Amino acid sequence: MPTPDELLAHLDRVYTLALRLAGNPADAWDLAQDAMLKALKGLPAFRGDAALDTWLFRITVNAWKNRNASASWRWWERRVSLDPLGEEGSVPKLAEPGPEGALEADESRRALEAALAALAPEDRAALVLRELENKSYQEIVEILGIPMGTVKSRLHRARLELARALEPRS
Amino acid sequence: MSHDIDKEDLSAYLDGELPAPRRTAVESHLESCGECREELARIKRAQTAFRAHGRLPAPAGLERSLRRPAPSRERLGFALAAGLVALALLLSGKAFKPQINAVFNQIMGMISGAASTVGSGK
Repeated sequence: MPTPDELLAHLDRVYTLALRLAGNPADAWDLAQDAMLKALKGLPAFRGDAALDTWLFRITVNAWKNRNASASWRWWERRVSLDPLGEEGSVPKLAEPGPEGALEADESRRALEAALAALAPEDRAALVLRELENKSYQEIVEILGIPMGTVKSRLHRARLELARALEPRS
Repeated sequence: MSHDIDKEDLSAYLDGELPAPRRTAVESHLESCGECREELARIKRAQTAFRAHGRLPAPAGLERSLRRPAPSRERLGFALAAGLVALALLLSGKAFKPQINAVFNQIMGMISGAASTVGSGK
């Protein structure tokens, strides 16, 4: 059985998925906390049928679905910002490019975030699972609980939207 | 150019998720279709950008909140017992208040009685 420390080692990854599902840092905090507490509680029942991170991601997605199902959550979600970076000052620093590079990187990050904000939460989650977590389509099917064809179409559509947002304005 | 492949197959191709016959079909289609080659290049750019900027670290306070020990059963039991005792004291104070007042009045009566006796010189 994994230890709580082994579980908490995945916190950044769970938080990233929670952030892309919830759409803003405050709700991402709540969602990631909720998911990790559920996982810590359910740790004795973890049998290792799936990888630990896959199990954690599934718990996170299910926690998000449960919240989403409640009318009050939907009411609240409509009223919160969809900017996952929050205020300007909270933009995480990139890897030390020169002044021009920094500006370009920041612009491309903002364009990317704007495009992400316009996507459905499940599209953003599919991107996280594929691009950052390198999960197979079958694993994404199991984590998100959607059919294989939907995974394929969500990923392709989401990538095209991001590509469009990153193209230079003429 | 006729598209004998599904455009979504371009993403699956990029991800290495196509079975061999469809992968071959996509590859041969790409050789002759500039539009699909361009679309493949665009989704690769999106992939690179998301990989570069997509991950955000959890706030430090989140890990602290998860590592904070939950109150133990013993501590909760003690707090509950202390609360019950305090409540009982509060209620008993209210219940006995009339009797306390009566004893106080009786003592005050005795004192003033004694004082008046002394005052009258009896």
